Amino acid sequence: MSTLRQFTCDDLFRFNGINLDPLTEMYGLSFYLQYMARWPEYFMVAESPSGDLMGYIMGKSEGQNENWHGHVTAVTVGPEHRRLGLANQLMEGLEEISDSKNCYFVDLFVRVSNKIAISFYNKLGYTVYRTVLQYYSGEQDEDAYDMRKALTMDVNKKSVVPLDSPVHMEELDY
Amino acid sequence: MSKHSAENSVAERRLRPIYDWLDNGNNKKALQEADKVLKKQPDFQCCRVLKCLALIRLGKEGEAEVILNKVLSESPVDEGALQAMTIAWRELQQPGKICQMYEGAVKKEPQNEEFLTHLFMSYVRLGEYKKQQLAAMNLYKVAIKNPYYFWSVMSLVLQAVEGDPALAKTVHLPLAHKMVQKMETSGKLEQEQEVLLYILILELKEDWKSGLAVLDGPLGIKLAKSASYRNFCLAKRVEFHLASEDWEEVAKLSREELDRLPDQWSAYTQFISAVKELKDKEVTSTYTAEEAEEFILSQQTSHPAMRGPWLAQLELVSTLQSTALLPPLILDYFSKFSTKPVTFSDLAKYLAMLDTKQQQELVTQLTNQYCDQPINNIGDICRDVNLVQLSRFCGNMTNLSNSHLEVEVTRLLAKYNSVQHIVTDMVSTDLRPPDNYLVLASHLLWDMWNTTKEEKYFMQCTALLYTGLSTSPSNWQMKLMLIKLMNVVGAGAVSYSLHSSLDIKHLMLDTLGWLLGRQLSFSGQLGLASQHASQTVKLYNHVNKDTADHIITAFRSGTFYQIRDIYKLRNRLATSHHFLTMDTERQLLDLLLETSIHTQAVQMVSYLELADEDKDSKDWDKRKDNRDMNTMASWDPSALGLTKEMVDTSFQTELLYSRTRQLLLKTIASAVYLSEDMVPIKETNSSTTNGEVPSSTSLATNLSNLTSSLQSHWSTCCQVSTATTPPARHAQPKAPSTPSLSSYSQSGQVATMLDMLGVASRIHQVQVDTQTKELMGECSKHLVLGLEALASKIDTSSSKLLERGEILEQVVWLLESVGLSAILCGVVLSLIRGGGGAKGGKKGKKGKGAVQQQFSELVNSYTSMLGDLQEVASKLLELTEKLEANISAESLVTNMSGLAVDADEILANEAGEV
Repeated sequence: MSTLRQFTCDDLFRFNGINLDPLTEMYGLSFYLQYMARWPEYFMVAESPSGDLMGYIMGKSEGQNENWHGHVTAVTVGPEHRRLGLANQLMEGLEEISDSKNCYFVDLFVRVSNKIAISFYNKLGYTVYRTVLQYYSGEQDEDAYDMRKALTMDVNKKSVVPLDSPVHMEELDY
Repeated sequence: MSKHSAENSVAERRLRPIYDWLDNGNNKKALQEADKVLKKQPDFQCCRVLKCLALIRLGKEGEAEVILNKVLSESPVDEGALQAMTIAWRELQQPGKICQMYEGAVKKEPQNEEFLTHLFMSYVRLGEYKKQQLAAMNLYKVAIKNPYYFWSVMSLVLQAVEGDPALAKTVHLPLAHKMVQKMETSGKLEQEQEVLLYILILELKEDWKSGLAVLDGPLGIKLAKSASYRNFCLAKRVEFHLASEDWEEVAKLSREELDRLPDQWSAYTQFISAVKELKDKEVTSTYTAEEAEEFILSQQTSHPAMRGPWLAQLELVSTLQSTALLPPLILDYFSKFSTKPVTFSDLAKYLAMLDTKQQQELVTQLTNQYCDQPINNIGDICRDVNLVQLSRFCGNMTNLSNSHLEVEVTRLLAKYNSVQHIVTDMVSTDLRPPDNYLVLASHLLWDMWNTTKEEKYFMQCTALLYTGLSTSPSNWQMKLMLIKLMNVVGAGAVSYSLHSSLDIKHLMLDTLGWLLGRQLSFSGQLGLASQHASQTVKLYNHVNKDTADHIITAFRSGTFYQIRDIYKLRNRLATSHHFLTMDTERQLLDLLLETSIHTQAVQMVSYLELADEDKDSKDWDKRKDNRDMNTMASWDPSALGLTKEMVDTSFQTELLYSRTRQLLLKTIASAVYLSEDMVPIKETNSSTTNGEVPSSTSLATNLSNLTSSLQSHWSTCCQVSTATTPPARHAQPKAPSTPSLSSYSQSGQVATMLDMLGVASRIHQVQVDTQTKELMGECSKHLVLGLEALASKIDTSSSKLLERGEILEQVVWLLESVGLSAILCGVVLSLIRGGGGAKGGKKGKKGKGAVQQQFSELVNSYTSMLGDLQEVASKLLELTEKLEANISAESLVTNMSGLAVDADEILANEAGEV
């Protein structure tokens, strides 16, 4: 149970309980504004009955022709609000919007080590489309899985047929 | 190849190497290359601009500006020149010139769509709404494209939102409305975003009826069909009906929403409040209280696993029936959802509605029911944690004797230990549910520490939290709690490292800045404080550019609601109180830490970025409180929790204190200006434009105005601090740590500064009389009192950890006072030597350096004034050494004694110069 609505600038002042999470990156202002200014419908937040922010999702749609797709940039839920199926709900919302925009698929990137997240996305119907080498930089670079789920437009589920070999970051065309 | 394109390609070939050098950062080469090309083609605009870019990056802004202005006056239309010039003006931070540049280009080529677009965007950067509006309209005339038309409309809306509200109502909004209507009637309103703008205008006009007509009409229906806007449309429809108090419709729409989204909480609250309004107003309606109850019960049957319908029943009963009916419903809700970590938060609102007796009964019932239940999995842990939180909230852990509280702590620790085997497999990045036992125990220990002042509770509290962190290193609740504990005892370096481990950055520095910002200074960690303050201030300095970039993006994508939202954000950050605080403290710290002699002080003052006093004096109390006090967990009973009043009082005090510090900084700076007869850079710029050079008289007036502002503001502060009793300092871990005005007054800082400023201004007016001498003789009297107060505290309570932070705070204020006094001594000396164009004094370089004849009888007073201050400094040093001896954790004061030496050195230097 929550109130799902579009993310507003004021929410940036209240989302500390979600963003202090070590796996949730706190970005500079510009990053959030870019999403708000271009894809406001893809930036949703859930508020609890007690008025706390519970979690949010930010994403976008991009690509050409059969590559036209929805992308999940971040989805995160605060610790007190886990175990409620909220992330699930947020993902479904994003898929629904992408579907209505006639996207062919939704995709996302995840650290290959993040087993919990990978199994969560699996349950939602996402499969590994390809591995992107050294996608995450840091003390130790890490590969990412590019996971995808086909939408209604992709009748033959062409977009999710896995690639045989991993790709380098430079080979990503979007 | 035509002649024109041939010329172009030649030009491009010649410029290519310059671009390359600039890109590679080799500005010297770029400059050489540009000069080479210009030798052959001295009028080559683009090349001249590129030369300027090289000059700017070589630090020769002045030279560049001359050339750029020349090119600007030629109204270039060459694309390369325009692009390069945009960059150059931006680097010179003169965005207004970009507008001028495109105005010139548009004049030459009025049909050029691209120039007009650039002109529009350059106005957007400056927030020139009116000019934006006209530029967009011209654009639309040149190229009839819908977006341009709506850019113009949005610019009107911005005039309404940001400008005079009366004009908004009578002129801007009606006009915007008319403009959109015109498009609607001619069938040209097409895009979703345009309809959104239409709705935004009607919302701002508070014209709910027309707003609903749009939402319910063909445009709104079409918009609502898209998944992107369905929820938006519904929310707006409800909002507009709410605003026009059409409760029947609110109830109807909320119901429809609940049919589709049976767990949407806002729909439940809207529905229930609408039913209440209908009932209270005795309106005949299908939505009666009985019907509402039936509906919610049916929602429970159809969606038994969802929390919404169950919690909605509590909302319904408490709103429409009686809180007496709540307890069994709370029990029921708990039994259904207790394994979710959020259950306590869900229930807190309703628990708070019960009286003490009901609360007690409820806790007993729940405890009896669940205390013997085995804990085998994470869900069970959550249930038990919820129970413990609920019991704390209902007052079960208040008004207990210490021995009972100690038992509670032991019990919580035992619970924590007993369930560890269940969570051993959790990854280190996850927060572990049993950590909450520790956090709650730490709150109980905090309370005991505060009431008894016994150190063992503090030790136990920190030990327990650190132990918790060793197994659950990502738990920020424990870290936040530790930061608060460390702040109280003045262990700033520890707070700092905990803070760093939380990776608090960007906007968090604004919302959570109150946790650390000033505490670093108060614990004597002045170096860290300065570093932290600079880092924080950077956030605010980028806001204008960041927001402008995205406002432009939003114009391009037509996300008009977001444009308004981003402007609000910009305003909220620009007027953030924390910004004012950190900016002032940073500059005060620079003055204190980076200057040992008068010339350095002069240099430092010339670097200060002081805001316009006319504006500050009007707006200082309109600053926004962006502090986030909700992220730190607390399950305090509602009667003892952090209230809105406490937060407000704390904020009022914050404002008074920050303004005092701001005035202090400005006044000291203006005294230094006066002593050197120097003009602040900002004013130099404005004075060159109108040809007037501020005289020493205007500097003196400035100082005297600021001094009297400081005086009157400070007397307000003193009145407020005596009239109100501040809340107990460390009442709750969650409470903000606000400086106490009465402690600040006790340090004697402001009084001393006012006295010394008085001396400086009397000397500037050549008042060489007994009164001046007396004033000079008494300059350190307030500091001496401050020292005495400090000494007695160090004697009686410095061993108490609970008071250590406050003692350190006094030490820091006194240290600052000595440092700032030293700077003002430099001012006085400079004036005595004929600086600052003191009346009758000989100005000029020759006269300066020796004591002026007319001031010779003040030399003795000056020397003894310095002597007094030196004595204060050495006594302070003695006291800090004593404090250090009293404190076992020596590291706390190493920085302090370092600073004391600095202040001593400053005074020694000043003395040496006499």
